[in-house]
Amino acid sequence: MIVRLYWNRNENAISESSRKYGAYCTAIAQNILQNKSDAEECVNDTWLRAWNAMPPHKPSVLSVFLGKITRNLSFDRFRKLHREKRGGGSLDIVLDELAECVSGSDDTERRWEETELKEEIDRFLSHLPKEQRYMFILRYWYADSVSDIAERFRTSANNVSVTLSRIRQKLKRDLIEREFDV
Amino acid sequence: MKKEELFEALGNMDETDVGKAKEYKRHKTPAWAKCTAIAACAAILVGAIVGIPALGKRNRKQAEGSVKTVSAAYPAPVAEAVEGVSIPAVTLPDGSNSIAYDMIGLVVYKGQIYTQAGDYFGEDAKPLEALVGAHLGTAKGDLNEWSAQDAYATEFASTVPGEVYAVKGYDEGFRICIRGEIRYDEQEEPVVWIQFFDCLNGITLRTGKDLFEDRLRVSENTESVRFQTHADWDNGLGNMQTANVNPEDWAAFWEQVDACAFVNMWDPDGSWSNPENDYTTIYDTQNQTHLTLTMRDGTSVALRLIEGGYVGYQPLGWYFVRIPEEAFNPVYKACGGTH
Repeated sequence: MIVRLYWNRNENAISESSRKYGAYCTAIAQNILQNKSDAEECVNDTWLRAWNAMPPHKPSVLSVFLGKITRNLSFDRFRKLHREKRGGGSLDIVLDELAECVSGSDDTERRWEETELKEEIDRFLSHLPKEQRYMFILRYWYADSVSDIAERFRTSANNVSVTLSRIRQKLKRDLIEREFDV
Repeated sequence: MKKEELFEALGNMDETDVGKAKEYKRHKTPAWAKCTAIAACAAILVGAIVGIPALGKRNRKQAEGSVKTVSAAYPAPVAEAVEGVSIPAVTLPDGSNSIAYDMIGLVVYKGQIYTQAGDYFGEDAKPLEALVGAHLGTAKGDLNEWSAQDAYATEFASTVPGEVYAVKGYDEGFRICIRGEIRYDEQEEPVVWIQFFDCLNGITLRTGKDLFEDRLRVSENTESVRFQTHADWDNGLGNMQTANVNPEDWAAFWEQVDACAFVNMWDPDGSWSNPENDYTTIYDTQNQTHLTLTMRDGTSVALRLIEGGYVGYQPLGWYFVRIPEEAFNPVYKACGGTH
């Protein structure tokens, strides 16, 4: 329904998006930026980006589409804020975890397309059991904290950390085996 | 590739799953189902856990009795008074989406299941090349999350493919390894990786000596001790600190570890069968610390010390040696342990 408002260029699309998905997007921005005012700005920018994207885009899952815009905007801002200073915040920890899966060097001779990497990541995740897949997504898509994930899964933070660590190892091994020289 | 680029790439993952993940919440299961599931998970994780309530209760009583005897006798070694624990052989649960038991690296060798105990890569693996012994066979890498029990009965079935070797200086019945090479670039030398697998199931451990001396040779082989606080470990930050332990405290600590009984901390007071409880485990306390012993042969031994005198070998899971706090606390404190 809200997508139709965007397509009809009805400005209620923005207020409806904010009402229904504001908290969802704010949580994503807050996880990444750890700052309320920065997070609010990114969420407000999200509605504008969505307005510019629809039409022509017709998202299959509106919440994720909006969340993805928020995630990208928030990460751009995070990088701008951290360009000159080393962080130590929660996203830094998430990124440091992901560093285990990559070389860390500039990839000047990349032999694969980004779409191929996306497909490989999707394939890898599709072979994980459902709960592991969701755990991975909550940590590395939503940047949720380990303790929040543990609460959601009714398990200990240790268990979440160990499970995520194993998935990262497995992802790294998988990418190497499939010749993604990440 | 940089970590930031991977974070961005992960932003493009399948939208349906991204949406479902945020909506997902594990429901509280009936107590009987929870006990069964946890038991199955733990069994694979550490090489079989005593998950059957009656059996667990029996072992617990044995263990408690042993610890009391040991404590009363401190500081004299009391190995003859303890019974320790019998760790059943691993059995594979039915296919399921449970989170814990399906990512363990394992290899089947001579009918025993060896589970992942340490990875060494690149520069870290180089000194270990000297430990790689006789070639034993080729691990097939044919097990996945949905393999049936039959597959585990096949020699060299594994979750990790590669060439399997004995490890010099270690009993083949306890430790084997897989050695492999990865070539990132045709122009460059391949990078070596070595992965150790320990057989920690289908065995009986009476006292700490059975594991830490007879299998891991800790006393004769330890070169240095580092530690990581629990908060640091929990977040995977990897800030290792050098431990400044008094040698006398260290010797007294190991004298007790070698002499004291293993105890099974799986549901130690039988409270997990009560649905009103929230299943707090020994692992949930913040009062613990993580030690890495660097061995003279280049390997590492990961220990977990938990307030109350519990000394655990990380890959062993729920089984700990419990020693008197008089011997435990000086080392625990020197390694960042909190109360």
